[in-house]
Formats: sequence, structure tokens, C-alpha cells
Amino acid sequence: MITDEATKRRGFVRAFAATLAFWWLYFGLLWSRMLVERSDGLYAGWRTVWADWVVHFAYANVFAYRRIGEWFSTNPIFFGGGFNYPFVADGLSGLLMRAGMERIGAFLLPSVVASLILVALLFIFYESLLRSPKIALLACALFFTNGGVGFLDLAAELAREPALSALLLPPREYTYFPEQHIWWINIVSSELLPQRALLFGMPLGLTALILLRRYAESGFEGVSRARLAALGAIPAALVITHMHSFLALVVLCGIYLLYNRRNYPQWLFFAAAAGVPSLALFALFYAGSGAGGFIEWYPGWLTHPGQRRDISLWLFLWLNWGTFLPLAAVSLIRFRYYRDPLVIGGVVLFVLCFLFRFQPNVWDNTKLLTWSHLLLCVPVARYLAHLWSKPAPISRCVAAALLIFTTASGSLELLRMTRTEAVAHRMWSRDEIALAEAFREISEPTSLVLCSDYHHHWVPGLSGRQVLLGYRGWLASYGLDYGPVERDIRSMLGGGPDAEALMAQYGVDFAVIGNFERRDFNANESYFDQRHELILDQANYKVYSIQRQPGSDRL
Amino acid sequence: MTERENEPANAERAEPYARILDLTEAGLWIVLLVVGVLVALAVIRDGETRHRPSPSAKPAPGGLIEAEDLQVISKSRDFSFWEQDSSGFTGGYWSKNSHMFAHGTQQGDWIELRLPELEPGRYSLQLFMTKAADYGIVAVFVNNTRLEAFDLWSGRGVVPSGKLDAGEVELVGRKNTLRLAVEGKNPNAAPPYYQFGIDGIRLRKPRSVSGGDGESDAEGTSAEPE
Repeated sequence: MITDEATKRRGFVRAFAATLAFWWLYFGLLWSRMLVERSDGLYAGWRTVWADWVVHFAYANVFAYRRIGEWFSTNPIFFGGGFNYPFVADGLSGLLMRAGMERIGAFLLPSVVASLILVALLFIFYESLLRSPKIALLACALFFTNGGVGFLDLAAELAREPALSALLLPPREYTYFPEQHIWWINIVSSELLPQRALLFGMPLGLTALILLRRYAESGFEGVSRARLAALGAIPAALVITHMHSFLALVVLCGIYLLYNRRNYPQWLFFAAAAGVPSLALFALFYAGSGAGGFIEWYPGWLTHPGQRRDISLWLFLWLNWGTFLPLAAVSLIRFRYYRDPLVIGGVVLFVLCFLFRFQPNVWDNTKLLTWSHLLLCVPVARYLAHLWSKPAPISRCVAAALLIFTTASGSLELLRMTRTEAVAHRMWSRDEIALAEAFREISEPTSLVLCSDYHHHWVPGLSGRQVLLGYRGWLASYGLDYGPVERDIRSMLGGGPDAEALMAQYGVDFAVIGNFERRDFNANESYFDQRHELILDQANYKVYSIQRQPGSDRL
Repeated sequence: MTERENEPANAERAEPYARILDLTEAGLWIVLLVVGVLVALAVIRDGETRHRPSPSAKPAPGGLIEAEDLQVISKSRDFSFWEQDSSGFTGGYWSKNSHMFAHGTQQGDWIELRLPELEPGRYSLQLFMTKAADYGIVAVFVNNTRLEAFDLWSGRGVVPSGKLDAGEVELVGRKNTLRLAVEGKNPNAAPPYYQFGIDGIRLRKPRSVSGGDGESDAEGTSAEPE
């Protein structure tokens, strides 16, 4: 018996160590290349980081440069709007910057730590559900290598013209293949790298699930109310860390309660312990933001007629999930996973994502699909292991083929992401970085700046100063109505008849005119030259100080 | 005999059935994989044929010939050129709510499209392209003659270019080609830099008598100078 226990422990340690060694090495390598200073500027190592981290920089700047009482006074990219974004991840980076850490380190260090913790928790979670360290290792691999059948495009190319270089640097992203309706982008590429809130939210959610599972399996034997109350802090923390993970946890706990009704007093106590602080935080940070009002009936997700994609649901599922869903479905029945509340929770989340739209941008349902995928890896890994363990060689071959088919596109993506020498994108030039630093020196943390909403504008992203209007694409995805402000900016930058009155009304402190202001908002440079003091002129940008009329107040 | 003593014999009898079940299970997965691969390849490798243009592209009443209706003759290499729904773009309106989107393009890439059959002669060519932050500079060639190059970069999101005059061209019966070649990028362009989109083209024949706007729309094969 002792030997059995020792063998089990050894098996656990080996599989755990193998999982940590591989994925920690991978994430360590990946993160070290994700934000790099080169001779000509600051580079993001991957497309999604280039696209998403600008706004994370803007949010972190709030915590780095503004006085504490002003942190939540306004939305950093939409003057006058509420700062309703789950702020914990960016707040942490901002505070590290405030403590003196360089921007790159302040962003990479928390991301690296969160990734390492995620890998460890993921393994522990899978092991607790699968009762097999080896299958848990497989489940972890399945989780990180999601993607559709896009790899077949490369396979067909290679069959026509073999080229080793295509395997070393895949020619394109194979889990993001929009022209062929493949949108279930690899989780590392589309979620864990760019979406800092999710990267921090997943370890929290997993911790709650691991503990709740353990308590429920023991019938809450020896679990004190104080411990349950303390556990309630995790969902509450998710409210300000990652709202979609909070939603997923609510759904999963609800399903668990249905399966575990005899322990309903403990579940209800936990619900109350989590619910009270969660509601309080929700009221504090999201009241009036319209959060939750975006949810609408939207059957079919990206195949909904409103998306005009001209593809059937079944074909879409096949192209995006390949054999993953059939394997999960067969395993659900074969291994009676319909009796497991967490696996059923994964199914429910999947179905919900195909029935409702949870954010204005319908693709954002992937944040919940990530949780569904995490849970459905359990039956898929179990079934693949089952096929592999059969005596017939053909079964092993089929198991290997299914594993390759399920993970090939995602694996190609993981490989491509590391080839940053070929896929990195410049975020800002050296001149823009220097300009932002110079501007920060001569402005106040709460200075209001009139500039274009260009996605990579250095004012919100680097200088940390408040802009009237940030990138409209982000604001649209938050469901904000920016139309009136956009019209006013056009009028102010154009030097219209009401320009001065509007600048006084908003309380504009500085105006920036560069390429984007000229091209996007027809900025009238001579107007500002004549009326306002030019205080910076570098890197193709002019920065003017706007003299506010005495007695004028901000909106 | 006790039940326990019967077990090996039962197991022996059950073994062939278990093997048959295993083989059936494996066989079903193989069938799924084969059919699934064929279906997926049919979709993935057939992006352009799903929007195969009609054999003779005809101009709409306004004279616009949809880019979606122009047949792809050849490309510099295997990049994507597909009909993208534009109803999600908020920067303007595209004919029939879609345009043809070139994705995965690099500097130097080109695509050649078959122009509709028209009366031979001189025509002025107008293009209706799409602009976006990650679009490149595209040069226009007709029958291998270079016309204009257009910078399709825009910092205002995805917007229609409006009418772009490419100049006058000499068309010669059936085999006229329109080539769009990526020549470069705007310094402000965002990655991947070299994409482009085209909504449609308009071919107008200069009027033979003075007056009016000096041009008339080409009406497909029936286009006649006034």
C-alpha cells in the first residue's frame, strides 16, 4: 500500500515537473520576446500584443503617474466617462512603474508570474478531475494548443512543394484564418498574451474551482464557514480582475449546486460570502457603465445571420474545433462525464456562447469559450488516453492521429509566436518615446490633451496624460457613445468658429498636431500657430499650450 | 464451477468481441478524419471559387463593375483574395456591402483580374478601393501598362476610398487584364502593412461629341460610344 502511494506520488511529481518544465520554458522564452526595445523603438513581439497593449499601457499609466485620489476619476481614453475596466492587472504594472521599475519590466514581470502560476494550477486542476498525472499533462497540452483545421492549408502546400522553412516559420497564422471562417484563435495568441485581465483572472478562477471541488467531494467535511467566507474573496476579486472569469465561475458554481444539492447550505453560504463583496465592488466600479446590458440573444455566435458569413453552424464548428468537439461528445457519454458538474459546466458555457452575445464585439465571447475549452479538455484527454491504452495498434495510431489533428494548428501558432524576429511589430519609434517623456516633464498628470484617436498615439500610451478620445475601436467595443466628442474634436482641431469655446468648455490644456491629426481630423496647424504657444516641436509633432480662459471649468 | 472460475473462459469468449469493437471504434474515427479532412480542404483551399465570378461581369446601372465579379487570372503567390463582408465597417458604404480583400500580401505581390468584355477603344478607368490603417500603396496596371499608384493607408479605420481616377486605358476585345500590385507602404501604416481592398471599378468611354460630362458608362458587352 505504501509502495502504491509512493509510486503514485512519484508519477505525479514526474508529470508535474514535465508540465512545468516544458510550459514554463515556453512561456519564459515567449514573454522575454514580447516587449523589446530595439535601436529604432519599442517592439511588440506578436500582433495581438501590438494591438491590445497600447490600451493596457494607458490604463497602467493612471496608476503610475496620477495621484491616488484621481485614479478612477475618468476613463483614461474617454474623458468624462467612467473608468469601468477591470483594472487589477494594469494597476499592478502601474504601481511597479510608480515604484521605479521600467515599463517593459513592469508589464512583463507580472505576466510571466501569472503564466507560471496558471500552468501549475492548470495541471493540479486537471489532475484532480482526471485522477491521472499523465492524462493531466496531456490535458494541459490540449488546452494551450487549441485551434481549428487551418493547418491543413499548410499541409496541402507542403504536399505540393515541401519546404522545411515553412515548418520553422509557419507562413501565416493557422488558427486565425478569417477568410475561411476560422476564428477560434489559439488561446495563447489571442487570450493569454494580449488580454492581461484574463491572464490574471484564470489563476484566480482555477484556485476557486480546485478548492470548491475538493470541498464538495468531501461533502464539505471539516470546511469551516470562515474558510468558505475567505474563499468568497476570490469571486469578488474577479469582479475587478476579469469579469468574464467571474461570469464563468458563477455559471459553474450554479451547476455544481444543482449536482450537489445535499450540500446546499454550504453552497448558499459560499454564494452569499462571494455575492456581497462582489455586488459591492460591482456597484463601486461599474455602476452606470451599462455592464451586463450588452447581453443579447444571438444564436449561432459568428454564424449568426447578422455576421453575414454565409457558413453553416456545423461547418463552422468543424473548421474551428476539428475533432475536439466530437471527442468531447463521445467521451462525455463513454466515461459518463455528464455526471461531472464541471465538465457539464464547460458544455453549458459553450452553448451559452453560441446563444448569446456577451459584449458589443461578438468575437469577445471567446473569453468565455476559453473557460469552456479548459473544462472540455478533460473528457478529450481522457478519451485520447483511453484509445492509446487499447491493445490494438490501430487504436494507438488513431489516438496519435486525433491528437495531431486536434493540436497541429495551435502548435504551429505557438511556434510562430516565438519567431519574433519575423513577426514583431513596432509600437513606437525612439523619437515618439523621447517626445512622450519630454511632454510628461512639462505637463501635469491630469493635463487634458486634444489629439487624434490614433490607435498607437503616444499621448495616452506613453505619456500617460488624459486624452479627450482614445481609439474609437476600443470605445465601440465597450459600448460607449463617442460621437459628440468626436465631432467636437473635429471642430477644435479644425480651428472652427467654436474651437476656443469648446477647448475652454472641456478644459483642454494642450493640443497635439501631427500626421494623424492632419489626416484624420483636418487639423488646422496655422490656426494653432497663430493663437497658441508652441512648446514642443519634434518627431513630426507640434505640441501647443492652450491658455484657458480665466474662470472656465472643465466639463 | 464457481462464478470466479468461469471468469477466464468468459473473458476469452469476450475478447474477440472486444477487438471487433475496438476496430470498429478506430474505423469510425478514421472515417471521420478522412471525411473531415476532405471537407476542410475543400473549404480552405477553395476560398476564391466560393465567390467565383460570373462568366461575364456586367456593370451595375451606375456603371460600377463589382470587384467580386472579376475573375482572378493569376497571383504573384498564394495570398488570400476573398470577399469580405463590409457591413461591420462603420467608416462608409461599400457596394453590395462587401469588397474583395487581399490578405497576407507582401511588397511586390500582385493579382491579375479579368476585365469584362468591352468594345475595343479608349476608356477612363476609375477604381473604388478600400483604405485602412494596415493597407499598402497599390499600383494599377491595365494590359501591363502602369497607370497610377494609390496610397490606401487611412488612420480613420476602414473607409471607402471614393472614386480614384487611374487614367485612360486602351482596351482590346476580350483579354483585358487589370493588375493590382503592392508597391510599398505609407510610413504610418500598421502591420501587416501591405493589404488592400477593392470594391469595384468603372470604365467610361469618352464621348465622341462635346457636351455633358464628356464620358459615358460602359455597359458590359453592349457598351457603345454615344
